[in-house]
Amino acid sequence: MNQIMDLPPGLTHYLAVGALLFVLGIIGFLARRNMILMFLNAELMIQGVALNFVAFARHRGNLEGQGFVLFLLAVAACEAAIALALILVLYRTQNSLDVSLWQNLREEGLEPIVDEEPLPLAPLEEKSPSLTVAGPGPAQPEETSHV
Amino acid sequence: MKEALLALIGIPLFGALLTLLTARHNRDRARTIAMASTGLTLLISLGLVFADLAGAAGVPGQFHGETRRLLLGTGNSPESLRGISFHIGLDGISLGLVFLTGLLFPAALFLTRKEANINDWGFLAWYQLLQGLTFGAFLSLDLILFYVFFELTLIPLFFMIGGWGGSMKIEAATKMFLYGLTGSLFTLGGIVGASLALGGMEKGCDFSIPRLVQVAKDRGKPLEELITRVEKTREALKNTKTDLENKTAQAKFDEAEHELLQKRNAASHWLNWQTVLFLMLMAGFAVKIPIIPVHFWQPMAYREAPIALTVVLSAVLAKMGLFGVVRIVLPLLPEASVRLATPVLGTLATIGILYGGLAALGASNIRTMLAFSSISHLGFCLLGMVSLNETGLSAGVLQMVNHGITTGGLWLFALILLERFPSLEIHTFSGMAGRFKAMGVVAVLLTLSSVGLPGLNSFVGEILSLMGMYAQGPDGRQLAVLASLGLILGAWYMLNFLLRVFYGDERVPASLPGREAIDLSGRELAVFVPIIGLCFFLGLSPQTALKRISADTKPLAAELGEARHRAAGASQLTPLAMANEAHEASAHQGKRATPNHPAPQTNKGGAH
Amino acid sequence: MFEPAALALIPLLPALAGAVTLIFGPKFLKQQSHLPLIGACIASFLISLVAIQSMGSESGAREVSHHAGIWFSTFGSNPVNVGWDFRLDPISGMMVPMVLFLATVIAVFSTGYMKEDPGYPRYFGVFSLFVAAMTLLVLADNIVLLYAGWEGVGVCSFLLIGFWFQKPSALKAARKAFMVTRIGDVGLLLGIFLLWSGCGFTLQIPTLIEKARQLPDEYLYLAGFLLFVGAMGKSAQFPLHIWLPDAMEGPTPVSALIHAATMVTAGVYLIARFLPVLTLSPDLLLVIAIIGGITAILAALIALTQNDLKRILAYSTMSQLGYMFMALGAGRSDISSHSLVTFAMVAAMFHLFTHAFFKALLFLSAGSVMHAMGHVIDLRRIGGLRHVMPLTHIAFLSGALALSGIIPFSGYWSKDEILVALDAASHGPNRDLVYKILTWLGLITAGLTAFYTFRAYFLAFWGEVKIPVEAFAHGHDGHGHEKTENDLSVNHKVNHDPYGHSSDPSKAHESPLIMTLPLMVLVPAALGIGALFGPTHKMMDFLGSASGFHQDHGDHAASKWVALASQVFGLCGIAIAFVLYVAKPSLATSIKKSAGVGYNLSINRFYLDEILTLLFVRPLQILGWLIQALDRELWDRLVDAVARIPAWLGDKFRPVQNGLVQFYALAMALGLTIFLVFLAFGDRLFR
Repeated sequence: MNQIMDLPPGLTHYLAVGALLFVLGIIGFLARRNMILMFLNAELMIQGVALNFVAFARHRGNLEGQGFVLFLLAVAACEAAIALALILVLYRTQNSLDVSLWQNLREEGLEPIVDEEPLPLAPLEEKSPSLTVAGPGPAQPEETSHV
Repeated sequence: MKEALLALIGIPLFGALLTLLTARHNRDRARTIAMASTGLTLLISLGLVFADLAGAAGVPGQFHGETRRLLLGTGNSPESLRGISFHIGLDGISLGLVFLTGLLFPAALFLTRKEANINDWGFLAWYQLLQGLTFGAFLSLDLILFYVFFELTLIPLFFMIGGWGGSMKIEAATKMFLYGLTGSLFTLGGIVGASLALGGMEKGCDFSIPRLVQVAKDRGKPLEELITRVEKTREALKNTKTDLENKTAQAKFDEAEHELLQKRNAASHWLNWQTVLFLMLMAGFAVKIPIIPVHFWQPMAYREAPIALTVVLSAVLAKMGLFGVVRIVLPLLPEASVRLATPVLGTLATIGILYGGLAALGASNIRTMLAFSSISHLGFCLLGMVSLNETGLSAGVLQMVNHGITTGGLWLFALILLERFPSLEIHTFSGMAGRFKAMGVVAVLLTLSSVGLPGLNSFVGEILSLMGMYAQGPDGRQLAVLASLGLILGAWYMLNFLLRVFYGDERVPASLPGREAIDLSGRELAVFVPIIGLCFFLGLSPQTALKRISADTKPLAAELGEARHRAAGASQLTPLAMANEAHEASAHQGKRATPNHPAPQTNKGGAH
Repeated sequence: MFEPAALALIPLLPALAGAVTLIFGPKFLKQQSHLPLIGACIASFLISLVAIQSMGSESGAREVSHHAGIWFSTFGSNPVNVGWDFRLDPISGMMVPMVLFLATVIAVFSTGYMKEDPGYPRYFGVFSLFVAAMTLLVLADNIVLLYAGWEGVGVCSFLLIGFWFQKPSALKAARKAFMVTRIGDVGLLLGIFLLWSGCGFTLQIPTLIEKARQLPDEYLYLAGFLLFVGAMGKSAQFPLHIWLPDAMEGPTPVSALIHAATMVTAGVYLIARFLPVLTLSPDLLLVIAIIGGITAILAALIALTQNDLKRILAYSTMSQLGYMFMALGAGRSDISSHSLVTFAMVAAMFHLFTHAFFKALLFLSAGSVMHAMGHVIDLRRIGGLRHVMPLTHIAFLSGALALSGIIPFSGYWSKDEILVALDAASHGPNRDLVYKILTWLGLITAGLTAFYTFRAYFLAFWGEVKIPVEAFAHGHDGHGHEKTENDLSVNHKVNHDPYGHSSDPSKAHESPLIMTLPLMVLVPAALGIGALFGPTHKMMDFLGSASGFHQDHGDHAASKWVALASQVFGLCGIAIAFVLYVAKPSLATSIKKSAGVGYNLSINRFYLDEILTLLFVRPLQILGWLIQALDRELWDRLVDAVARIPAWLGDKFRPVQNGLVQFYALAMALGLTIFLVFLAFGDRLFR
């Protein structure tokens, strides 16, 4: 360890930081179940990889890695937009960011896994004030449970 | 000639297309189209047979009417012609099968009455497609082309059995398809492997059967010459008189033997590789024939398929597997064939003969009986082929045609019974000969042909198959003796059928509603008279066919004979040389322990 | 001068006649369907006579041969060459005219017997094919061609036994005949293979015989034994004899020609032809002789008690065939003084020759009786016919005398030669005891033969007149054949008389001229042909000139005692029969009662049918049923079970898809870890 510290900053250091970022991202991704946090952890992993690219590009003295990273950043940005939009939509339906509420893609006939410590639900939004519509209102559906 | 072969493949395919385009939901038009297209193929194949027998087609022993278009070149120059090509041609081995295809497809259709459920535009389109593919498989001279035709036949079969079959049609169709597919995937591997091993990669993959056969033949030549040299020097050594002479002769002999040892090691790699390829290739063909442990799809498919389809399935399509054996397996892999054909395939064929015979004896339904009898009879074809000598090979090929005619006739007979009566359970019939005289005559003649009466067709094929096998060493002798017991079983179940159905007190089952049970109609006679005529012709004058066939089996038999000679010669080393070899081998093994030794590459070096 | 190519015509003409009759018979020829057959038989007969004349008399090759082209052939390392090769030598020269002569006579008889049968054209068509196949068998120079004729006669026999196809018993008999002979045929086929591969891939019979001499002993023994298995099947030798008595279901003229005179002797012909080489294996000869002896005595014992006239004759045929094989088995060449080969062969063939005539005569007489009695042949229901059918009576009596071997009738001369041959063989160095026993067996059989033949004769033609009702009802309707013993009940109703005695014998009648004429032709042949050829040594001169044999006029007079003994036995047999069935019929019943077990064994044919069925037929049938049932219900299901393995595995792994994102992520991460570990440390881990 000391040896690495003693060296002048070089490829190894960059790689070490990249790996650290990546591993942190993985741990975070696996450990958290808040969708936004999971997404941020995924971003962290991407940054770790991007750091690797940059480090190697500098080490090799060419620009290919740098170019990759530019693409990566662009892709990450697009991804963020789409992912956040998706998360928003999901949140609207379940009123929660808990990823374990979404088990619908499991095989047919399997029991859903019941979460013993669900994330607290977000407080229900208060309805924005609005004008009553003219005529008899539509039958209000009863409030349903979130889980 | 060339055009005729193309037409044989093209007309049914065109007919199928025409049915799809113009005869949707129109039974009458669909039937007209199907009759016309299959009828045309009958005329063409008849013409081919006459032209060929008259010698107008070309020299026997070569392919006739070849067409060759490169479909996918793999060579590094466009002139090399290597790659997958549309390459078709006719020879004595395929001639009879082409004729059978041309004969039985229209015959089965012709005998089916108009109102039958198979006279549906869908069925008829599949049916014509199947005929085209079958012609294609028999005419192919390219490995991949053959495989494509061979494999594609499964699709029409699947839909025809699944769509128009009996009560268990789905199960039967699925089973047939899965068996066929599983087997032929191995065959595909074998085909690619054989092509790579024989043709090599450097100049591009080669799939041309005639060229690969030539390669296989040439590859054994150096070893062959070496063995001859060893034998000669050994003779010379024996005949020496003086010491000096003895010394030089001994030196020459040692040198030749040493060289042989080295070559033999290389050759044994090649042989092991061939063995693998042999088993892979045989997997698909064995299912198609079918050979005993992989036959389970067959009785069910034959029972559940619409009977017109069963006719061609048994009489024509089963031959595709045997055709593959004689066209691809034996010529491309002569060494492995010499090593495996008689002990493995011969044994399985013999088991099939006895097993099929006994099972047919126990069957209570004409269809089941004929299905098992097919296993038994095809065993004789296979037995002849795997005896690997000219007699057996010619007999096997001839017997394919004979079986097609006889069993085709018997299935057609079952078809016309099914046109009249609701079931084919044997016990529902008795004493039919009283009212159905012409039927009785046809049944007697077909039965006698099936049991191998001299003067009718099957006799020649069966006896020559057995003789070919018998002459093939002690193993062959045992197999031939066991297989000949199949003749007794064959007579037994066929007589059971004949006597129970036609002899005894007259008890004819109630005919199908709206159908009058009548003796053979003119249309039916028009089919059965030529078939029986063929039985007599091939029985009384088999030489016509046999001569034509042996022109093409002779080179194959010669190649296999050389391979046998090589196999025997390579094992006839002197004890001293064997000891040397063992010593070298142990030394060699130490060297070979390096992690990545070049395993398959040595094969290419083969027997240079 | 005789053109050898005409040899091919001998089988060809009947074959063409058969084809013509079968194709055009039902529509055009109808009741004239016999014409092609009779014409072809006469023509072939004349050709064969001319051919025999032209065989040349100088010693050495006394033969005519013709190669009429190739049937099929292959080349290569083990060539097969089968040509349409015909050869007429003394052995076939004796057989061919005999077959054709008898065929002609029997065909003429059939025109009366089968009159107005709806299957008339079919009958004569298959009859012609039989004659063609039989002459082919005899004339064939190539052993595969011989086999073709061999199978051909078998099939014609099958078709004619099952001629009245609506009769269930005919169905069973036809199948039995075909299957049992088929077993023998496969033996013959294997014998052919063995000789073919052992003798340098030739199939020509003379070459085979020549080359087979060099075969090792065991090889020769096996080849000969296999040929003999074929002969056993065709010639109804124990234990493949069970088909012959049942074969009597066919029309009687067929039994006369096929199952008495010609086809069943094919086995004798085959072994006689190969005797010059088979004699080199003394063990094989012994086997042949013993099997022949067992058959001879067994058949004679069974015949003692049968009530069906045709069956008695059938057993007698078996018994006589057993004699012929005993004779062939006596053809030892290991006796120091001189070889018995020729003498034995001539004895067997001579007996075959005389037997053909008198047995045909007996069968035709039985046929005549059947025809007149409305197809009733049960000896319990007929009697005293010598007054009703005088001509038939004479014919039967001559046949019976010849069969019993009474001097000077035909049977005596040939049977005597056989016994002399056996006796001579017993003077050899080894195995003399067995041959001695066989000689005595032959003598006893001779006595039994005389007894049962005359038992049948006395029962049918002597005593009070008994005529079954069918005799008046049948009216030549051609359906009389359906009346079997089961119809006794009908008799009860009509007559209240179990044996259907008729009160008015004058209504029963002798058969028409067309049937009695052939009988009258055969009577002198049956009586005198033995004396014509036997003591004059004509047969020996003729047959002995066949290649592989030599003329053997050796004096076997040392054993003249057997001739005397056989006379004694024969006459005793006749006398006992006379006492039991004419003079004191009550004695017969009491003997029957006291014989008990023996009687039951005999009348039930020693239960051999049942035993063989139980041992071979049933097990195979059960095995067959089991195999096809297992194939469908067990093995197939097992394979299906294999197909379920992937489905089962899929089912087991399905829960992995639980829809939990983090589970997926974890799996991915773990997989990645494992992969990376392999990548990084793989070579260190697996070194």
